[in-house]
Amino acid sequence: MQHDLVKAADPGHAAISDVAENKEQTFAARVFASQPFWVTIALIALVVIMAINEPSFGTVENAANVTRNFAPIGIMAMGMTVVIITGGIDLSVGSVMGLVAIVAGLFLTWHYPWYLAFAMGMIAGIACGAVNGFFVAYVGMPSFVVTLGMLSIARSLAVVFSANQMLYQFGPDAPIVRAIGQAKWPLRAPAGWAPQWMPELSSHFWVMVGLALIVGYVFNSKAWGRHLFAIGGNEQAARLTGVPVDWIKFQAYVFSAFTASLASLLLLGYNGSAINAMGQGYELRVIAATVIGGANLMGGAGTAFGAFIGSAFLEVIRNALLMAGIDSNWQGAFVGAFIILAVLLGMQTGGKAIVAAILERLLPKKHR
Amino acid sequence: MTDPVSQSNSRNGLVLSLRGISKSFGAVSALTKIDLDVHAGEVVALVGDNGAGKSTLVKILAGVHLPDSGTITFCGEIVVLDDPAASLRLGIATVFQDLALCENLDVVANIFLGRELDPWRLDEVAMEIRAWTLLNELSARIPSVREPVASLSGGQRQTVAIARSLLLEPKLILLDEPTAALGVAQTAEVLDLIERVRDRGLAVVMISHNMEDVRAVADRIVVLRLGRNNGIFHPDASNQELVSAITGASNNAVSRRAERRQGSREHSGEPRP
Repeated sequence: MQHDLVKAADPGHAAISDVAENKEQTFAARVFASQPFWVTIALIALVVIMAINEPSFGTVENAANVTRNFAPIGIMAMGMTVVIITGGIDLSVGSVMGLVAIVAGLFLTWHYPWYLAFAMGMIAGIACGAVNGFFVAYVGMPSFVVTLGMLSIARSLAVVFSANQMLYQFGPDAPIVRAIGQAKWPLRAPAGWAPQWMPELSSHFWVMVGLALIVGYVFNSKAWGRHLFAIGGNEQAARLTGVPVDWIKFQAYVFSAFTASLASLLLLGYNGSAINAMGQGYELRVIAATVIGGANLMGGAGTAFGAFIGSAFLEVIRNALLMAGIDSNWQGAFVGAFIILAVLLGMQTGGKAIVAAILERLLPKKHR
Repeated sequence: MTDPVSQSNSRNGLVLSLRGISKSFGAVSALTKIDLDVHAGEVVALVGDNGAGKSTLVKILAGVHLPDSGTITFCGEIVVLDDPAASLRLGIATVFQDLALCENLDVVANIFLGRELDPWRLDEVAMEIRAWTLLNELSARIPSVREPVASLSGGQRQTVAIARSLLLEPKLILLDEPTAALGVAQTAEVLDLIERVRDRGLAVVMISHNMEDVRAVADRIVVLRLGRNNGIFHPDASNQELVSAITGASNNAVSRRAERRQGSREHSGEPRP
C-alpha cells in the first residue's frame, strides 16, 4: 500500500515497485486492494463527469484554483498521515496554523525581514508540536487529549498575540511574502512558455508535491519510515526490538506541526494578511482527507499518495457541488457520506470484501 | 531424583550458568535461589505450574528484570543483564510468548525491525536475501517474505519470530511457550525448528506447559515449583514423576485422574531405560 505513492507521484519510479513486488502478490492485486486506488478512480470519474456536464469546471483557471485550494490541506495531511500511522491523532493543526500566521505576521508588522518572520512563525509552530510530542511520547498521555488541549491553547495564544486584530501592514518585505504565497509555475504567455491548456499551478501545490515525494520516499526507503509503521502495528514489539519508539513518536508530532506551519506561511503570503482565525476547523478536514486516502486511525497504515489524493478528492467534491449550483449547505452531507464510503471500501482487502459481501447478499451460495 | 547434569556437562561447553538467583516483587518472592545450567547444542525445558517463576526467570535472562541476588555466568564470565539491549549484545535472544511481531509489516521488515540494513536507504534486496537464507537454514515453510505477517499462520509466525532472534547470531535462545496456541501440525513444525536451532550448536531454553512437546524436544527438563528448583529430569522420565515434581505431591489431581481412568500403562508407566 505504501508503494502506491511512488507509482503515482513519479512515473519514472513505477519500475521499482514492479520489481520489488514481482515475487508474490502481483502488483495489480496489491493496487486493487488499496483504498487510495479506488479513491483515485472515484476522483477521475468525478472530474470527467463534471468536465462534461459543467463547462466552467473544466477550465484551466478552475484547475489552478482547485489545486491551490487543496494544497494546504494536502500539506497538513502529510503530517497527519505520519501521526496517524503511529496510531495517534493531531487535532491541533488548525490552531497551530492560526498561531504561526499571527507570530509571523507580528514580526512582519514590526518590519523584521521576511525570513526572520517566517522562522519565528515556524519556531512557534514546531514548539507546539514539541509540546504535543513530549506529552504523548514521553509522558504517555492519549494524543487525542493532548492535541485537543493544544487546539485550545494555540488558538487562544493567536487571539492574545494579535490583540484580536487582523494583521496586514507588513512593512518593507510585504511584496516578498506575497510573492512566495502567490507564485505560480509554469506561467503562460506572455510571461512564460506554457501553452494555453496548461494550468498555472500555485507554489502551494508544488510545495505539497515536493513534500509528498519526500514523505513517500521516507516511508519506503528509510528505517525511520519503517519504524513509524512498526509503532502503529505493534508498539510493544517495536520497543522490544530496540526501535526508539518515544523519540520517533515525538518527531511525528513535530513533523505534523511543521507541515501546519508550512501551510500557514503559504496562506499568509497568499492572503497578504494574518488573522487569528486562520485554519479554524481545518483539523477535521485534514483528518477526513487522510482517512479518505486510506490511513487507518488504529495506526499502522497510510500512504503519502493517499494523503494527496484524499485532500484532492475533498476539494473536488466541494468545488463540483459549487459549480453544479448545489446549495453549499449540502457540502457537509456529501463530504461526510464520502468519508464513510471511502473507509467502507478500504476495509480489510479494499473493495473486495465489500464486493464479496454484496455478492453474498444478492446471490446466496445455494443459488450459485 | 536423578541428576543428568553430569552427563551433558561433558558433551558441550557451558553457555549459561545461574547460581542462587532470587527475585521478589514487593512482598512476593517470585524466585528463590534458582540454579540453572545450559550447554551449547542443548534444549533445556523449563516447566512448572502457573506462578512457578518460569516467566520471571526468562525475563531476568532477557534483561527485562534484574535479579535481587545471585550470579549469572554467560560463556565463562559473570554478567549483569540490566536491559534488553545488554542481553542481545551478549548473544541472548528471546522469543516472547506474544511473539512481538508487527502484523502490518511483511516478514522481511519484521525480521530486520530495529536493525535494518542501511537505515538511510533501506537495502531491501540484501535484507530479503538474508531473510530467505535464514528461513532456508531453518527449512521454514513461508510462502512469501513480502506478505504482511497478518496473513501467516501461527506456526509460521513462530518461525518468523525465531528466525528474527537468530539474525544477531545469538549463543542462547529463550523461547517462551513456543507451541502454545498452535495446532498439531504447526506444533510439530515448530518442534522441528527448535531441533534445527539446537543442531546449529545453539543453547535453547524453552518454557512450556505441554509435557508432550517438552518430552519430544528437550534434552533436559528443569522443574520449577513456587520459585524454587524442584528437580532435573530426563525426557524419558515418567509423567508421574514430572507431574509430582511440578505439583509437589505424588497424590495430585493429575495422578488421581490417571488412576481413575485406569490408564496407567499409557499415562504414567513408561519404563525407564
